[in-house]
Amino acid sequence: MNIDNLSDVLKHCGSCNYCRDTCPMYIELKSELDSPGGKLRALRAYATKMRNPPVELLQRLYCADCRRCEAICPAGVPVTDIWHDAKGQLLKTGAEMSEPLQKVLDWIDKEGTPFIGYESDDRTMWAEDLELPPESNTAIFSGCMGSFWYPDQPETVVDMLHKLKVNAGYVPSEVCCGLFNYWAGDDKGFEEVVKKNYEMFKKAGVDHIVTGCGGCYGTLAEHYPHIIPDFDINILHTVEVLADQVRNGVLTFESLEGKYTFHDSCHLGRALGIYEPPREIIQAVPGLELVEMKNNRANSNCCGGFLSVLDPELSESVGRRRVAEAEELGVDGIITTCVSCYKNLSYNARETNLEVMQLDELILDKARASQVEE
Amino acid sequence: MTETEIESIPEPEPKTTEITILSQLQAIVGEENVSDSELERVVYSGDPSSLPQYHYRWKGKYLADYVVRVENTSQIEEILKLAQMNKLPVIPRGGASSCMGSSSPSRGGISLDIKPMNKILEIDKDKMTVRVEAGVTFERLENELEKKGLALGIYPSSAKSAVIGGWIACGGRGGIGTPYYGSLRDHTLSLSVIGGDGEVRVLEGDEIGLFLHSYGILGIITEITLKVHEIVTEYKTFSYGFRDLKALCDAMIEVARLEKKPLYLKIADEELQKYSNPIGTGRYLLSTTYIDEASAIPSEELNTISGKYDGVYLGEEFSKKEWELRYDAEFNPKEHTDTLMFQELWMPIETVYEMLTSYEAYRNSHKTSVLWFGMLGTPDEMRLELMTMIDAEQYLKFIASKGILHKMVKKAINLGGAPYTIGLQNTIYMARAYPDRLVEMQEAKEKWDPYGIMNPDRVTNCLTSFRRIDILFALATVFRRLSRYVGK
Repeated sequence: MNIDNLSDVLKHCGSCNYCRDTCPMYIELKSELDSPGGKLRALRAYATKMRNPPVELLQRLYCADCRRCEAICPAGVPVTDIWHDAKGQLLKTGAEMSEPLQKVLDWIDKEGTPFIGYESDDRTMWAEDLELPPESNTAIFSGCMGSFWYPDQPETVVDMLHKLKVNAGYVPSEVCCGLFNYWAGDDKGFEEVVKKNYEMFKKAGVDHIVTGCGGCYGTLAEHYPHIIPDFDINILHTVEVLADQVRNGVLTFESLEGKYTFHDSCHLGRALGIYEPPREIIQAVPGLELVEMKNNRANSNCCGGFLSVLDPELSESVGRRRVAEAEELGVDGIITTCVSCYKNLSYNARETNLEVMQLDELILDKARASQVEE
Repeated sequence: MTETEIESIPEPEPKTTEITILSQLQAIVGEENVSDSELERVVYSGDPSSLPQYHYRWKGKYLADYVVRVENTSQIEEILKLAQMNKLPVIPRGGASSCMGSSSPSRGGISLDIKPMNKILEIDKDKMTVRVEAGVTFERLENELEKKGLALGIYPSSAKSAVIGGWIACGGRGGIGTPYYGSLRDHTLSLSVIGGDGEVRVLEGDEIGLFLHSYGILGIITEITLKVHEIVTEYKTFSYGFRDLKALCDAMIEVARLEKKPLYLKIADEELQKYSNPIGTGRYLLSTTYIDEASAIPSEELNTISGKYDGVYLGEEFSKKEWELRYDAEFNPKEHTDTLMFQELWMPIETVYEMLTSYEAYRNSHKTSVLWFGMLGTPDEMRLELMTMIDAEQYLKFIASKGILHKMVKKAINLGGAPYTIGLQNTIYMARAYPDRLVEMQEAKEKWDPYGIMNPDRVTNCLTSFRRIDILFALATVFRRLSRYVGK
C-alpha cells in the first residue's frame, strides 16, 4: 500500500466518529485532529489531491498504537496500516520527523535499541549467569524492555521454561525487534532490523521464538513475514505456552488470596487476539478472584506505555486513567502480560494501594514446581 | 552628535500588536484551543455526510475560517460577541454524527466545538434526574449513570459519538429506547442556552420545544437536565425473517401497537443485513428487543403475529447479535463502498410499506445498490433510513442516486411523512414538510439571532431552491437514460 492508493482505503471511513471518544490521544488532547477519524479526514483531503500535505500532518499520525479505533470501527478501516503507510510516504515526500524521534531512530541504528543511553553490549547482561545455550531451536527473545529495564522478566521466562522442561536458548546478538522503526514509518530501518534478526535466528537454528513482550510478539508475528516472505519461525508468547500447560494440568498453582483485575495489552490483545490464555492462567490460581474492568478484551483501554517515547506526560495521564478504572473496582491489584504496560501502570499506581504485577512473575511465584516437574 | 544629526534620526514608532480575530479568539479560550490552520479546518468542517468535493462546492465556503474549542459558557458569550462584531458565522459542533450536514460550514466562520464541555454536573437519585453539559456523549452518560444504578434509557444509534446537546438540536425523536421510554423531549426538563444575541437563558416547559430541531440556528445549548430511570441490564431480542415486504410491514405495525412496547424495533432488507448480520431465511428482517422480564415481553403475541405473516424465528444467537449491532449496522456497508449516501425519513408506520415498495423499485430500474432499514421511534412513527452505495466520482450515478432520494422525500411528504433530520441537506424541504415549524423558526430566528450569525443556511434559509434541485434531478434522469444509448 502507498499513499497514492490510500484514497481508496480512506473512503471506507464513514466519519461516524465512533473512534474519537475511545482514542487516548483525543481524550487527552481534545482536538479532532488528534482523533483517528479526524486524521483520516485530513489524509483523505490530502490523498484525493484536493489539499497540499501540511507539514504538521506527519506529527499527528504518531499515536499510542493501541488500535482501539480499529476495534470500534464499524467499517473495518485498517487504521494502523494506514498510519504506517502514510507516515512512510509523508517522510519520503519531504515531511520531517521530529528531532526526538530521529534521535531514537539514530540510537537504534547505532546500538540496536530505542532506549537512549543503553548500549548493545549491555543487552546480554540478564542472561550472563544463566548459561543458556547460544544455539537452540527455541530462543528466548527478551526484547529491549526485558533486556535493559526489567531483566527479571526474561529470566522468569527462562526459569518457567526450564521447569516445563523446554530447552530454551538465547541468541545473544539479538537487536530490537523493530517495532519502533515500524511505528515511526522508518521502512528502511525496519527492513534492516528484520533482516539482521532473521539472519541471526537462522544461523542459530531457531524455529521457535518465545517472548514475554507483547510488542515484540506482535512485530515478529505480524510484520516480519511482510519483509521475509518465507518467514518460517513459529512465534509464541509465554502466556500461550503456559496456558497450554495449565489446560493440560501440568502447571498448577499455590493459592493467592485477593481480588485482581487483568489489563489487556494492546499489542497482545487487539493486535493479535490473545485475550483468553492469560485469563485461563489467572483463573487457575486458587483463591485469586478475577474481576474484569468494564473496558476489557477488545474494548480495553490503553495504558499509555508506548506513548512514553513520544510524550512522557501524555503517557502518564493515559496511565492514570487506566489505573483509576481498576481502582473503581476496589481490587487489590492489576495483572498484566506486557512489560511496557507493567512499567506504566506500576508507575501511575504508585500513589494508590494497587499492586501491579506481571503475569510471569505471578506464575513463577505461585507455580507448584513439584507438579511441573512431574 | 550635532543637533542636525539628531533631528535626522527618525523617532521610533511605538510597537503595535496587531489585533486579529485569531488573537482575540486566543485571548478568550487560550492558544491551544484555537486554530486557523488549514489542516484543522478541514477536519472540523465535515461529518458523516462525506460527499465528494464537488458537492461541497454547491454550499459555498465549506471550510470554517477558525476552529475553536470551548469549555464554559462565558467563553461562548465572548466568542458570540466577537462573531457579532465581525459578522462571522458560528457553527456549533457537537459529536458531528449527523448525516445531513448539520455542523458543516457553508459560509466559513467559526466551527465551535462544544465537546470539551462534557461534565456530568449532578446525578440526583431522589429526583431521578441528571444535569449535564451539552458535550457529553450518550455512551459516557450511560456509563456514569450505570454506576449509580440508573439509566437515561434512550439514545441515538450513534450513541458512541453523539452528544446530548447535538441530539436535542436534531430533534431526538427516534432512537433506541424511545418506543418504550419516550422521546428525548419527554426526558428534557430544562435547557440552558445562549442565544445568537448573546443572552443566557434557561428554558423549561413548552419553551424547550423551540430548541428541539433548531440545528444551532438560534443559539447554543450548554446545559441540560434530564429525567432518568432505574437501570435495566438484561434484554431479550426476537428476530424474524419474512419473504414478503407487505408481510414484514404488517407484522411491524402489529408489533408496534402491542400494549407491551419494545425498547428497539428494527426492520431491514437483506442488502443491509448482508454487511452486518446476514439473514439466512427470508429477504426482510424484523428484530425487536424488550426488557428481559416476563411481564415486559409479549411472547405469545409475537408468536401469533410471526405465524400470521409467515415470519421465521431466526434464533437466539442471531437475535443477540442484532442487539449488539444496534450502533453499527448502518455504517457496516461503508467498508464495501466509496460513498454511502443517506436520506432519513420520519414516517407514520402505516405508510412504510408504500415507501419501501417505491424505493425497492429503483433497485432494478436504476441498477443501483439500494438498501434500507427502519427504526421504530414512537409506537406510531418510524425513522426510515434509505441508503445507496455508489462511487461518487461517477457523476451521473451520483446525481441519479441523489435524484432517487429526492423523489423519495417528495413521496414521503405526500404520504404524511417528512425528512427526519434537516441540517444543510434537507433545508430545501422545510416549506413543504414542516410549513408551520418554518414560520415559527423564522420568527424565532429574528428574535434569538438578530445578527444572523448562528449556523446559517439551515432550516430557515436555503442555499438553493427546491425548484432548482427538482430540475437538476430531472435533467440527471434524462442524461442517465441517454447514457444507456451513448455509452458511459
